[in-house]
Amino acid sequence: MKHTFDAIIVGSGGSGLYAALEVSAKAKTAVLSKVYPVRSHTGAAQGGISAALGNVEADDPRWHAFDTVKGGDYLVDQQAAMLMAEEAVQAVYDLENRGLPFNRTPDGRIDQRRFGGHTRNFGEAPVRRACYAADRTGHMILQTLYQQCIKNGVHFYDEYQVLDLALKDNQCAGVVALQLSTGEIHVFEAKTVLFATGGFGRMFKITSNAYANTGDGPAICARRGIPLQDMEFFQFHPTGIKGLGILISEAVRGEGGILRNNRNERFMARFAPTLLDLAPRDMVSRAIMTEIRSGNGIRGDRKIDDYVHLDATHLGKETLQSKLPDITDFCKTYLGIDPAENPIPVLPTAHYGMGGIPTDTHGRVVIDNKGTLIHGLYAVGECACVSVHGANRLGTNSLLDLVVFGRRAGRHMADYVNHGDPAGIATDATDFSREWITRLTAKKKGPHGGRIFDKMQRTMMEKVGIYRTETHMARAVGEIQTLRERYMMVRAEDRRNAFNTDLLELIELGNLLDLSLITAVSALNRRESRGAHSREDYPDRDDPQWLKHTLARLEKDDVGLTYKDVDVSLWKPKPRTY
Amino acid sequence: MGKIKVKVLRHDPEGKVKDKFDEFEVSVEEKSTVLEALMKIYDTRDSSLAFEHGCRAQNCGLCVVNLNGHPRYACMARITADAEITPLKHLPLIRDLVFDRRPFFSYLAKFRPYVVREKDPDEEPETLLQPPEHSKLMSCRECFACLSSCPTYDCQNDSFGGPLGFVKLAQLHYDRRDCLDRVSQAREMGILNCMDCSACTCISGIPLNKIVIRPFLALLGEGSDD
Ligand SMILES: Cc1cc2nc3c(=O)[nH]c(=O)nc-3n(C[C@H](O)[C@H](O)[C@H](O)COP(=O)(O)OP(=O)(O)OC[C@H]3O[C@@H](n4cnc5c(N)ncnc54)[C@H](O)[C@@H]3O)c2cc1C
Repeated sequence: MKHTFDAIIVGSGGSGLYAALEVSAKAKTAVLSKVYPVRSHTGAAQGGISAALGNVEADDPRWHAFDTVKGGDYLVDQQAAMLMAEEAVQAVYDLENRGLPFNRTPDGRIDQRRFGGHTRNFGEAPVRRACYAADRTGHMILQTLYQQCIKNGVHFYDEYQVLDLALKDNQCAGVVALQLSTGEIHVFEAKTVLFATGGFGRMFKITSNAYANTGDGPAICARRGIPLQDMEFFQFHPTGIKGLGILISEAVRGEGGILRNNRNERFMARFAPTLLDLAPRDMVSRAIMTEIRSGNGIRGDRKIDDYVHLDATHLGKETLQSKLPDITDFCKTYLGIDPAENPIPVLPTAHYGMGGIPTDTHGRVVIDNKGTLIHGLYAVGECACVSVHGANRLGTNSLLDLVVFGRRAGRHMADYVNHGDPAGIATDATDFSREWITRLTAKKKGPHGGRIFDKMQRTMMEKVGIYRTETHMARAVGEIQTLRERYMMVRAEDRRNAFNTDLLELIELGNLLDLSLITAVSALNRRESRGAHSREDYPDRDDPQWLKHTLARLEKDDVGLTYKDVDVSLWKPKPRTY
Repeated sequence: MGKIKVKVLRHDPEGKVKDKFDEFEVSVEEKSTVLEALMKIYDTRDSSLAFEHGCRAQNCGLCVVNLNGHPRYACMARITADAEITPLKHLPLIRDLVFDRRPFFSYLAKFRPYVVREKDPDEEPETLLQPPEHSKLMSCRECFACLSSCPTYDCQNDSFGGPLGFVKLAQLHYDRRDCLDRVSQAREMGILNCMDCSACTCISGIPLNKIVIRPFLALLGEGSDD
């Protein structure tokens, strides 16, 4: 079936919905999403959204921008970060005006709380910058934006999984999608397409991410010749529930929770004397792994699955219940403990991809160092790389990224739709998708997809995880290449059309394998340590050689690398201490 | 805990037998959840089992199923021996445990389910204090469990929006910024046909009867006096 729109938005998380809201004011817009809109992963974001409102103490967008740049270990494009920090304030007011119920101070103003890496006056001390709606900030953002999209008459295609992007020369023509409830292939023709497909944490064995976070957008773009930027930078959040990776929000430390080792020591005092437990995530995650490796983990056996304690017992039952109710539930269900009485066993968990589809500050996809565009193609949110997070994202800056750049991209698209002619979608647009599905559902015996999935996740976790070395990463590249070969023989056991989970998972596996390869190769080639990319064989940041963005192009079974300048026009890179 | 037996309802619109129970033997641990058991069945027994799941942390509301007849988030409920897992009731089934949420939202769209303001606020940020019911109601995950537990709700019958419909209206009713008459909308949505039987349950702990059904009924009762 074929559908024609002015604008197609792929993904209905915070970023996709915001863009849809803006573009639908002026153009016929459809949102395609493989999960129901308000069930997108944005809904899991509990901590909050940052903006220098200065509501509860003095704050300044310039401090916010600086924290973002420093937190990102200077791989952030500085003007973009400044723009985000400046537009943050209005973005929060807009969200509220559209119906988002932020928590209030007793006198009715938007309340704010602390989060890692956010400071007053260029690093002096932590500042209250995160606006929040109980521990449901992301959920409320989705609710608010979805309601407004309904108001604007956006067409929603729920449970449609996009498989491919149609390009004509350097212009975007539309997308191809699979309708999950029927198994039917649909073509969506549009002058402009925006990818907002979210993260790809499922590349790793232990992750905080939802099952749907399989990086479909970046993988689709990569297969169509678009390079991916800075994929070697993947953030591990310090506090995942041991063994499961389910996130214990940084808000626990924001409210006063403390990390402790087996001597009950607050070890962050040794790693980040000023910000302590609220240092940026890459540092805290490394500190935890260092403690574990030196035998200071709770078991003390130095094994990779040893853990540390997140102590929230001193916060009291009341604070936990009123400010962090979900945390108590998780601990009871998954660990059988009450966080008001016992410390929580935690371990870093794969959380956020700083890299993604390269864009400018209008969300336009830019494919090289010269600013070459794919006309009509946009990307925002976690699947994109502007780059405002550089080598390590600060907490609460992702939700901000979604709304600021979602809005900017939507506005730009609305403008773009009214200029020039559509590319028109080619008749063979569905060939690639059909062949893929035919192969996966062919009545032959093939290897089990689940095993390949598991092997990929373990390889990435163990060899391209928090600490990295040349030998391990080189091995990972080889292993992923082998898995990609075996993937060509994989078959779905389920052959029905309606809601074929087996088939969908195999498609997602294909996407993750492509991204794993790109990530591993990009990481192997960056011979320095910066932010979340931390190499034991090159422990220092090396600005003369490596102050540059990676652009990685998928070339069949290999990855070609080029590099792109970083904008450091506001602050000179300095060593990063907290 | 070792090996246990679990029964799962299979619904197959393309097959000869549309509905039947399948029994699976799975090995689980003491703290295993229903979702983990389903994943295990999917991974090791039958990859044609269709079920939805998202965040694993009771946020997305996707994994809700009936466990021994009661709606539960599969990601948070413990699995037990001889458990019976069925899809939610009163909703259009797609396959196995997966149901279609779309018709409900199309129905809801007729009620302008968004904050409608008379005018923009005079100053930004505006000073605003919402009643406590509002934040309770905003924790609704739209998991549809309340519709499954309501004896009156039926997805084929448009004259009754069911507890979820009333919750969506109540969210706006308690929002100080919204200016539409949500109480009349609740009447249009058929709240007077509610049996006030308190059978509807909210997994997220929203006291449906206390802050949604009763207040609407009371306001409508008053309204019919004059
Ligand atoms: C547990 C957790 C807590 C977090 N807390 C915070 C926080 O407090 N503050 C903060 O700033 N950040 C937080 N983050 C990060 C932040 O939530 C995410 O980065 C952000 O929500 C991503 O939003 P998005 O719009 O890019 O994508 P998502 O919300 O992930 O949405 C992706 C959308 O794309 C769709 N999609 C994907 N693939 C396809 C396809 N092939 N076809 C069609 N549709 C597709 C999906 O259906 C979905 O609608 C948290 C992350 C996690 C995991």
